[in-house]
Amino acid sequence: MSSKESIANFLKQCERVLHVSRKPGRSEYINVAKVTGIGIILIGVVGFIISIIAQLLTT
Amino acid sequence: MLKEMLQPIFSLIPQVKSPTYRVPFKEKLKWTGIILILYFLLGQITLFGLSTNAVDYFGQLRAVMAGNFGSIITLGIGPIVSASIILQLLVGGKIWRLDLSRPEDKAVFQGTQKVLAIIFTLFEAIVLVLTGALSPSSPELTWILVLQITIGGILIIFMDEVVSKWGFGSGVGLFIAAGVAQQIIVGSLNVLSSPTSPGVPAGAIPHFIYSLTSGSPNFDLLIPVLAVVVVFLVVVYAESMRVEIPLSYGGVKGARGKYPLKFIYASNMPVILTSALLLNVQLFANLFQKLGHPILGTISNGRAINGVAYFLSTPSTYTVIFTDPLKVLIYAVVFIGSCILFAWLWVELSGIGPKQVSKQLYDMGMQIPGFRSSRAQFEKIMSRYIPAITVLGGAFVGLLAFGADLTGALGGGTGVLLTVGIVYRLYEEIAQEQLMDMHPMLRKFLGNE
Repeated sequence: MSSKESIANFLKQCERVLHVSRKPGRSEYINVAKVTGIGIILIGVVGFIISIIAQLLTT
Repeated sequence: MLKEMLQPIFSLIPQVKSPTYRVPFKEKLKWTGIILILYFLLGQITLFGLSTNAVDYFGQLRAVMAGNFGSIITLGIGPIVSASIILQLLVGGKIWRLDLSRPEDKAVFQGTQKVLAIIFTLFEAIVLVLTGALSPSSPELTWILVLQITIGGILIIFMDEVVSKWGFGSGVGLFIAAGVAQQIIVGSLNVLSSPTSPGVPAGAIPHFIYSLTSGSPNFDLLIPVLAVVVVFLVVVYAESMRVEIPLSYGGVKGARGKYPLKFIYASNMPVILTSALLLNVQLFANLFQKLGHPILGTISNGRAINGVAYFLSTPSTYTVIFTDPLKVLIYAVVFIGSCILFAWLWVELSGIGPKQVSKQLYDMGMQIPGFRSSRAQFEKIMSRYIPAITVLGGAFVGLLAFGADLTGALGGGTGVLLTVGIVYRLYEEIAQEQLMDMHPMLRKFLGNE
């Protein structure tokens, strides 16, 4: 296969992929947002508490 | 043979013991929690003998590398990821032939990565101290400073190993998420004042409230916080996009199945690797300048001002688009291009290529009705989709990270992007583990015993 053909072939593949790609549904989106949001806040709060304690101890 | 030559070196380096049993959910949670707290504590240990006027040369990339500037873990995961880049290029580029589906080759891969990571730790520590990025308060403390940074770096390497073997996800992911999440919460909520402006709370939201009470509300203070929320909402959307591969083939009636794959197929790994690559460009630019041959560009006051290093430094606000559009364009092209390359390498090496996915589907007992050799058929279908998803997903995640950085979000746009992906995958793993702990039969069925 020439490189021109293989590029054309690849672009066709990309088109096919975009054709079968699916947007997240509303409930799925909200679920992922909730889970990751809570996770980030949870981890961040642990870090926040430790950094505040450290700042208070050093001043 | 290179493999045999490396073996004695590996046996010299202590290893975290691998669990000989299936680690139960609670134990995994315990180890992950311990390492998380340890990581935060190490971030509070400031380097002894660091000059007070040290400037952070890699501020924007620091968040992605989970380093805490001026602390013993200044390097963060930089050395681990740099080592991983070198190995991926060597093995993925078939320069060093390793078959990662074989346990002994995988052990060689991991052992080499650890040795390289330790070498990188020492190298980065020396470069940072000698080039003045982390200058000592007096010359005799130079090597004490290098020693502390190296110890911190090695601790991170072993903590990563503990999480990978005994906890959830990987240490690399955990540390990135921890660093960014901490920056977001501290940056928005900190009520204590910074030493530079006493009496004024340092966090964005308390600072804003303070500005309200003093009669001149300053809405600009809230922009980084809002940027976090915007980047978060966009990335959550991107993370939950799927590609549903139709498993029917050749027009067989009734043969309808769908196999969902994530659109960001190589996950956010390409962004982590690309960021580490860019960090190394800055590091080497510093080094060459110090040696008197600034071939990668000139660095002044911790910022690259010309040359390759300038074009490849992260634009951290959107205003750069107007002041230097060429730079932004070059940066975007290199960043996205590198993300595509690493996405491709990552898919090859982490066992999610067309061949391996087909094998998995086949082993799970999936069949395509009407075809005797389903496995070959799966492979045919997968190889029509996976390469394209890899490239599109890599380019997409690169574009997102690039765009996110321009918003100037707290913790860095790229940092927020990575954190969303990491925390989501962590949740998926935790949910699956919990399910398996509750249902031993399911565990047997999935062959995870």
